Amino acid sequence: MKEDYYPWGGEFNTCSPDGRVAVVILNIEYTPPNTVAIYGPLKTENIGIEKIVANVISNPHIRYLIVCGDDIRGHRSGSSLVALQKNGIDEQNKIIDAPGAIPYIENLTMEAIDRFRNQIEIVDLLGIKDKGSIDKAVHDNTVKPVPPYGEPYIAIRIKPKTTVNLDDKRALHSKIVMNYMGKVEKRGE
Amino acid sequence: MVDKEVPLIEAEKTPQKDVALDPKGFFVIEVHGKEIRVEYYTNIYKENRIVSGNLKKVFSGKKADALSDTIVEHVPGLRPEHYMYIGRELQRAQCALEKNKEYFQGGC
Repeated sequence: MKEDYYPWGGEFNTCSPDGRVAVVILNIEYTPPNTVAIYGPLKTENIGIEKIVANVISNPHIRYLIVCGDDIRGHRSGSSLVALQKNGIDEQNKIIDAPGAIPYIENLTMEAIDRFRNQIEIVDLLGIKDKGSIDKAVHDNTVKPVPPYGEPYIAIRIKPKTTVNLDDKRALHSKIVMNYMGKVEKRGE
Repeated sequence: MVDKEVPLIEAEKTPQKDVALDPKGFFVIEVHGKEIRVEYYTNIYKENRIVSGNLKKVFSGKKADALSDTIVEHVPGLRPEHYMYIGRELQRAQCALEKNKEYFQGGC
């Protein structure tokens, strides 16, 4: 089941798969304790937020999302993420009351967004850059006795395309014996 | 006597403000783990401006040349300058990967 976690790759680091806390780090150098499930930066208020939502809801153990540091100028992606959890999106797929320039959620379904809003509580530490304060928030939320939120929700799957492996010497040097009907009679090296 | 003359053209960078966005879409290039990952999005327009993208394909690899060739094959019809931008960004990404340094996708 844990191999299903975090289906949409990105610039994040994973720690404890059973951790209750994920951390979004904005404009600061900070490494959270390894009790967190996942942490990483957020840049854009559209695709960046979508990746966080898709990856966080894939792990039902994550119940708290700490958003810390200084918000990204112009994009206001941290505040837009907080607004998504609080308000959801409108019929134009725009995050309601998000301050970012283009806070549109286009690659996730409404069901996935609802799941995010129900599974995750945001811990808004925007403007907080002090390591001790963020560490304390991580600890306080890690020890809360909340259960996992059901099964993993896979909002997107990157499916590997089957390719022929030309490094496979058996394939390159295989001998195929065909019969008079043109059918393969024997394969071998 | 000169048999043939060819022009020597001084290189000039197009200012960022004059770079035309590609109507076929855009790419997000990231280095994570031991590979380079490239996501291809088609443009989503709202009120006559690009506000986001629709994820269509994801490419992964370690080498800029392999990724470039694969992207050309799977995403035809981009603007020429867009292909060249992708090529040089992928080379930067490969350098970062090989030197274990951080990579941030640059502008056009």
